[in-house]
Amino acid sequence: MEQIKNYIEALFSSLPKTDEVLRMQINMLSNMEEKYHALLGEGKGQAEAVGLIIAQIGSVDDLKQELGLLDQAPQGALQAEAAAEAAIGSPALSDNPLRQQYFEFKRKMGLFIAIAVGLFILAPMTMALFIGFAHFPAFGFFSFFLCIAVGVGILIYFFTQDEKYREELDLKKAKRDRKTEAISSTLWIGTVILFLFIGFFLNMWHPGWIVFLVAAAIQVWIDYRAKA
Amino acid sequence: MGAINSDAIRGFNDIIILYHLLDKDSYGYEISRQIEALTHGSYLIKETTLYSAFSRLERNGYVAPYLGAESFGKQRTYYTLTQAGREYYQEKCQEWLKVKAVIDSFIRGAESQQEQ
Repeated sequence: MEQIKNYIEALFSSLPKTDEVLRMQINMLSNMEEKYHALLGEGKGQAEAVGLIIAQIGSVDDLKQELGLLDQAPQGALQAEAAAEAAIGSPALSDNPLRQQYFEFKRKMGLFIAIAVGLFILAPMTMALFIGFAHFPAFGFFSFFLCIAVGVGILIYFFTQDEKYREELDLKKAKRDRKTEAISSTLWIGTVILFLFIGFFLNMWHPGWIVFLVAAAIQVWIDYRAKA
Repeated sequence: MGAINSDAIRGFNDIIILYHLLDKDSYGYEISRQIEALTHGSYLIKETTLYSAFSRLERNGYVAPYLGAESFGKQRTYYTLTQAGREYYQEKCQEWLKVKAVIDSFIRGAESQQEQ
């Protein structure tokens, strides 16, 4: 009977653990147990009973296929996956294995961002420490850049991973279309050029920086128009 | 009669399962046993098929589950046919009769039975 339990657990292991799926699993297990005892009652040996039962259960693919076809409409592979998701009940954040993985990842990312920031703060501190000792002032610069480099490396790694997950899970906000992107880019590049111009030629760096605030306001207006 | 290809019978599992609930409530293993008996061993329904069918029928409101007598410490999930389920069964039966008539037109030996 243990083997039957294990087989059924393995069968369901890769499926999202929604209420519906779990009830199906329990139902199947309970009925297979009854069948097992019925077969023993007929005089079959334990091994034979287990063999007969497992042979008639079906495979993981069978199960996935049955769940995928729940809507009973002719569907392409992609739609079947989506139908399977909908059929087994809308997966909460913790159901989809990939989402669960992403959730775990996000936690790690939070931790490492904190570590990276810690390193950034640590950088000048280590520099001050080494220079204070005066024996090896060069070490100060070395440790400073090392801390910054590691911190930046951590951030780059985690943000690229995050992008991958978002793309995979289709979480990207598709709000910005190409036109808006183009306009926004032009706006900021233009603002930088304007700033440099009035800085170098009119020497108005000081009030000049306001152009960036104006650009930010214009960006908000652009986003507003894009939504409409 | 050899064993039936499960692909060939896929669309009819609902009829097969609901049939057993027409006159009385039943549960998984009992239905599976009955199917084997009624088809004289020709159709051994896979458990994956059977239990996902229960899940689907329940979700569509054609059957209603309830916990019944205990067996070996676990309660059996019994199913009862709802009114909607009864209507669905009738629809599926009509569908089969139509399909049967159509296909029979192309079965050598059975064509003559089709007047239309």
